[in-house]
Amino acid sequence: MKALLLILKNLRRNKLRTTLTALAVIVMVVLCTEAATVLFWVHQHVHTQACQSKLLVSERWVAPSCIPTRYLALLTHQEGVEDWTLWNLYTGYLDTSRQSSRKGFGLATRPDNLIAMHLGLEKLDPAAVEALQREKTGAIVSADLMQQMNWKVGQQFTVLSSSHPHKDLRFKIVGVLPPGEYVRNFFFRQDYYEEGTGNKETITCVWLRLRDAETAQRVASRIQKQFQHSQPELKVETESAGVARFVSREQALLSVLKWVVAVLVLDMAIVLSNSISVATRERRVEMAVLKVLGFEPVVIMALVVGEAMLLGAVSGFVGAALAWLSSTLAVHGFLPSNPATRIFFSFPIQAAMVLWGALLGALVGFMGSIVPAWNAWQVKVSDVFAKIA
Amino acid sequence: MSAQPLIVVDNVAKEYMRGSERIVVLRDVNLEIAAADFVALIGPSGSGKTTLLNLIAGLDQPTSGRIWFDGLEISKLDEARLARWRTNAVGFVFQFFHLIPVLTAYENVELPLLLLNLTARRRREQVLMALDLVGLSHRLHHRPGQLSGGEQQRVGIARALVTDPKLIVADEPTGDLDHVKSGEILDLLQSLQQELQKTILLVTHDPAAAARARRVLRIDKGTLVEDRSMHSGRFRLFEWTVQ
Amino acid sequence: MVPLAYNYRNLQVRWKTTLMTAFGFTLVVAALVIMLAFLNGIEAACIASGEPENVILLSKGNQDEVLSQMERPLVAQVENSKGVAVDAAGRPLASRELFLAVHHRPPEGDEFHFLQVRGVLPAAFRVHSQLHLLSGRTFRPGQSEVMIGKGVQRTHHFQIGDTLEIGRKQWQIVGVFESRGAAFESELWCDLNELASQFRRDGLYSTVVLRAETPQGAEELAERLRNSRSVSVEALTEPKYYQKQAEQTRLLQTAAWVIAWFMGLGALFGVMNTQFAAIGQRSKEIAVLRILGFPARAILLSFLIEALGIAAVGGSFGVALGAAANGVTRSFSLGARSIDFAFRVDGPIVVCAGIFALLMGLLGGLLPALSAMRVKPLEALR
Repeated sequence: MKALLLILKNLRRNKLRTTLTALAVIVMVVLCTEAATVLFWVHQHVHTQACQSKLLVSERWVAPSCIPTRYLALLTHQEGVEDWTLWNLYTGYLDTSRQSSRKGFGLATRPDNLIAMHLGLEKLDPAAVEALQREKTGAIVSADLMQQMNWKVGQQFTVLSSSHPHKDLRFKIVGVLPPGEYVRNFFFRQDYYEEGTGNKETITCVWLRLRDAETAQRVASRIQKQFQHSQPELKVETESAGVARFVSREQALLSVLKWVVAVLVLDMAIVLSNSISVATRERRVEMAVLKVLGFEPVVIMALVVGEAMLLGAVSGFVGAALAWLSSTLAVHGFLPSNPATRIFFSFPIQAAMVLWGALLGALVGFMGSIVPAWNAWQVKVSDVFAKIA
Repeated sequence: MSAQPLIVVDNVAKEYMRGSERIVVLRDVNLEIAAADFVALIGPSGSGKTTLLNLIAGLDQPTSGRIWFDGLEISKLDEARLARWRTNAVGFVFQFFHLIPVLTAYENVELPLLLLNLTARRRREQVLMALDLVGLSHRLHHRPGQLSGGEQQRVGIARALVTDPKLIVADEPTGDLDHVKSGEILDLLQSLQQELQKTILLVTHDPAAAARARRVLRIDKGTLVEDRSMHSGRFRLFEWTVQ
Repeated sequence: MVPLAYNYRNLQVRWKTTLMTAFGFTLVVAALVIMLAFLNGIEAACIASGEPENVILLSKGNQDEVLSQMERPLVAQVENSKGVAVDAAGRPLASRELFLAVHHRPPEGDEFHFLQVRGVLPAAFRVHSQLHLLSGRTFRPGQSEVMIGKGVQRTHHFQIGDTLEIGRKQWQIVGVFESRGAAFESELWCDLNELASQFRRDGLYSTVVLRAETPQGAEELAERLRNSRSVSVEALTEPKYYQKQAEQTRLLQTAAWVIAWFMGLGALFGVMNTQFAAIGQRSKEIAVLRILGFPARAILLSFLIEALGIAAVGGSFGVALGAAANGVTRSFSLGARSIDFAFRVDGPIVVCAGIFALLMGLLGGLLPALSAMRVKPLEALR
């Protein structure tokens, strides 16, 4: 306890330096938190969340895929299929400016099992799904689109279709998707899609849920074999494989992002190390005095390391908390919608990241204090006093 | 003493505020210093001698009263003009030498010349001359850390006289040196006065240093209490009453 | 002015701190250079893809080839538009193309990835004049043969003579081509009719590319087709089309700068810290300089220069480090397609990064330098 008090007092000695160091760490942790969230999101989707027991069925060769509706019964009646849904992609511009930044990607699907069949919709309000079942033209829209277009629930909007020329559709907003998974998307009803576009013949893809991963593998190969000689042929992959393929396309971007995180961590360590070095250099005499009084070098070293780690942890905590706060505010519409805040809709920062921020700060503090602590250890009583006398 | 004094201090007072408390450091100081004189300013610590030195050297402004230097009223100048005037008119020698540790002896001496519009060649001549005068021609490219205390102070003196100022002020120039080195430094100051006709104003505790002066001013509690001309052996005593 | 030797030697004396602070800059600047080189590479690939004489036509409402579908009558009509150049035989210089993203599963792996296949007719080679063979030969009409772009060869390690399973058939790789780093290099080219029959796309095209005599003519042709009442198509000159594709990286551009500024801010606080410490240690020296007659602004300048020196040293190493990424090739997905590009560090990026580093040094050095300027000589020497 005494040691902690001493560390705090030491930090308060040069408030300017402590503040500057803290600010540097805070700023970098803010960025680190968001970058880590993105990387963490990707990792989680590729390795855990995306389901090994969910199958995505699409046309074998060509994207965008086009499966005849007549396949549907054959697919969903496979043995082991517990539940299923389908998607029909319907894209278009959300206003007459026809800018690509104002494009929306509608997914026509079954409303009844919307939550159960989709990754990341656990937090969707069931009332929205009920409303969708009541309202044929209903749409559940991503938080990002709502914010960008400044829409309110209950309002209507028209999509100027680019995927289905001359088949513009009008929707009524009945709910908002939780941020994270679906960014530029809105879900609407398959029956409204069929009616509005006149396309009853094809679907974009079919999702099947199986009992377990093993069954999924078995069913996948059975479907592939069964449709091998049909026209068109089908491709079946697990949801996680699909996510992995999607992610692998962004590999270049992800590696740049990893670079950025590494640079940030190193940079923080450098700033902290520099600051603590200056502090220890100034206190050489005191450290010598402590040694004369009988303090062991380990204690003196611990004081230096502790100072750096405490400063790092507190700054890391504050930085991550700021990042979390701005993410939460952006998602709830308290921050203006711009490219910088919109990133939070794809990758909202979790509250738990605040603790990770503190941990990261402490770690960086430790890294940064190694050299100064070593110097403190090396302080020779005789040298210091010889210089003064 | 020449007809026109170099420095005239007229009824000068200096006060500081410390919090709400007013501290009087100097009061009612009247003084004239002739050109090419060697004046020692003595007195106990806290008596105000350094403050008086700073006022005369243009480092500080009096709270009231006026100071003339060679006919120019320096107590009226603003900070920027004072700085320019200082470079030309005053050379400084400090107790702790205050050389720039990363610069060589040569570069330290050259420093004040950079403020004047001189050609590189002219600067070089003056620096070499100044260092020659203090007897350090062989140590041009040493850094302060590589010089002894006495040598460092010689560099300090060379820096003070390189701009050829009329006045050289020295605040305890021997305070950090041993007996032998002190003697050498004082010899040097004395020779500057005698051979180059510099006016020397020396603040010191050291009676040996004061003994080199031609005139000794004693200051106590902010007032001049004694003015002694050494060469004539004559004593003049002034008493200023506290108002 | 306080001599530069003063700053230089001080940086030298506390070289550890100087290097550490500068290293902070190095990392930040290197990251900035790499991020900008990344975006620059993508943009360069897009710009290289466009020939100003060419006009690309897509079905109405589409801005991407992947989703565009045009039917034969429409195509036949636009090919004969006024302003389309003709070849020696009097045929219009028009290239009908079918662009498909097909799934491919390499025999050894079980993961799908996309191959981008473009079916073309012989006219294509007269329209896309920049394209030329590196090795092998072009595919023969009516045969299941493909030639692959340089980028495809690099990412998938295909060789001439290899066969690929696309659709129901085995396709043989017969040639490798390049096209000045353009998006085409990420594609496989084959016979249009062969591809269309494989994927039930007979009589359907993704796009038609028309070649005009001059860039000016191309602009006019595109304009005319856009406003035409008789045909309903999207018409853009190729440079404009690819420029629009590159616009998708705008968001990334913003993100890169946000990241850079945040990082820079961190480095800026670092340099502030270093300089404040330096000034604290040297307040007596500053006092002496002031007493010797150096004006306050000379002190300000001197300490600013010192901060700038740190930034310049760190920044130049950062640029050098970042430049190491120059030429590294990666692929990047742009909308529904992916293109191969090379990280590209060029003059403007170097200048940008340099200015960025100096600006950070300047901002980081300013506050400490101001405080140095305010050092009171008499108090500092007491």
